[in-house]
Amino acid sequence: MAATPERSAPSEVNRKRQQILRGASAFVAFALGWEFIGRFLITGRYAFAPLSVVLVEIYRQFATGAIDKHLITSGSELGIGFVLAALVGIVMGVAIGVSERAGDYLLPLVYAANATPIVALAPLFILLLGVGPASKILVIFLLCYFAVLVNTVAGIRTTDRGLVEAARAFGANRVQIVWKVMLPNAVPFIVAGLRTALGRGLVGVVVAELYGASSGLGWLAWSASEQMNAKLMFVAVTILAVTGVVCTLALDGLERRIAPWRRPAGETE
Amino acid sequence: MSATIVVEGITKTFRASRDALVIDRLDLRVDAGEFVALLGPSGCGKTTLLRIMDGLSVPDSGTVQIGTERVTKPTRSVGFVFQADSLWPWRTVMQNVTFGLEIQGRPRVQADRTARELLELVGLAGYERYHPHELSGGMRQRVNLARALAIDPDVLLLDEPFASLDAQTREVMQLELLRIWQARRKTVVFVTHQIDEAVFLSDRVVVMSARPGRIREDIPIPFARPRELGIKRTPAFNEIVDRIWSLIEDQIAGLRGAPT
Repeated sequence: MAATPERSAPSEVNRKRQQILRGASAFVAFALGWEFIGRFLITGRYAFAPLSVVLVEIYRQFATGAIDKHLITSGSELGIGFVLAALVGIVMGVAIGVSERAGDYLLPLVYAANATPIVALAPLFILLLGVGPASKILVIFLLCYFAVLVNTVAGIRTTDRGLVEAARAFGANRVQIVWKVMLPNAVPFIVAGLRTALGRGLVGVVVAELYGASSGLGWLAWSASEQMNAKLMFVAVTILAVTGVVCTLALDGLERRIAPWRRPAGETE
Repeated sequence: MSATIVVEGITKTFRASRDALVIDRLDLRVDAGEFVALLGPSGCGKTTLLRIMDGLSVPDSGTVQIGTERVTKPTRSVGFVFQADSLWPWRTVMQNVTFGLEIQGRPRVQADRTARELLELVGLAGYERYHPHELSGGMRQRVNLARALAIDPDVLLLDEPFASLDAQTREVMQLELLRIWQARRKTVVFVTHQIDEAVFLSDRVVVMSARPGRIREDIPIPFARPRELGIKRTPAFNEIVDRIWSLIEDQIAGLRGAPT
């Protein structure tokens, strides 16, 4: 291996450490606040539960396997909806980004679909597709694909003209330019889109399971809250939140690995 | 190894801006193995002419012939060195250099071997796995040069390749370019707006007029090769630079009255 370049200079390592410490301390403060409120301010067990109680319940749920069917239901709905949204978003995004004509035809529809309150349509989907996973997957898909699509379009369209020209000078044809120049250029944008989509997908899980389901974390949260079981409601919500954080961090890490030339804001060359 | 370039009656208008005649019936001949600098005020169509010579831009009329081939689109007989930052940032140094061979469908092993040789030639051995953002401006332009040479073109076209470099790095790169040119003997057309750079590097300096671009003067540069940076401080060198400067000064004075 050649000598290590500046990207891991000591000051940047320190900055990273500082960043993690600050983020973690905010989390600790939040956790303490939650615990404090649950212990001393809202003591009714129907409305609220302190963090420690929720954590114990989460442990119990995992240990007994009671949570498993909810994880499987929600996980598969989110997984399928999200992956479909990513595929459709990327393929359509590339088509629209590359071809002005495709954009003229599709973008108005896409924007109209995005402005439509999908959540309000969820009951209709359940009526049409039944209470099974299909209706949930559709809601999640519709909530997710837009973020992937618009980011992919942006990534394709912001490709520097000079980079395209350079490829043309070496005899690259249109397909090669899309594949070897525009798509790599769009990758960091696509990852950012996936990150946004995932957040919306997690909301989608809860919303989709609200209108008719028999398992899933969203359904669990809703039914627990209806039964005034705050502890169980927080279990479901916490699992969803932690999933969101873990997936976002993973996508951040992925972006840094695949796009090392794009430095995070604040760092300069 | 190298090929003659014959440019005949090139005319080019930019449609975006009304009546913008950029190049007007321009003829130019560059002999095989010759190093010619194209010099002129900014906006005189130097870069446009270079892009037409590579087939990246289509002229309204006129022809470009390289060797026996008429240029209508980019070909493998021409290597193009762009201004700064045309390297693909997601590709390593190595992958940038092998791009042209990849497009031609050459086997990977062969492309890698060629790239390694060229990185050695431009003084970047050991940097194969770096990404462009980890290199200095001068190093990036070395990669740019290696990338153009990788397809083993007969002709090398360079569009102000050192314009973004600081004065010292630029001088080092000028020497490097001459060394590489002597090693590979391509026909070279080098666009610049730096007079001393043009005179130092080339066999002929072709001075273009301001819009519409025509050839104003064709000045042979008599200095023996290989050249040292020292000749930049000789009276003979400065005399040529002064002469070209006065030619361009007229143009700039003419431009001053015109709307831009």
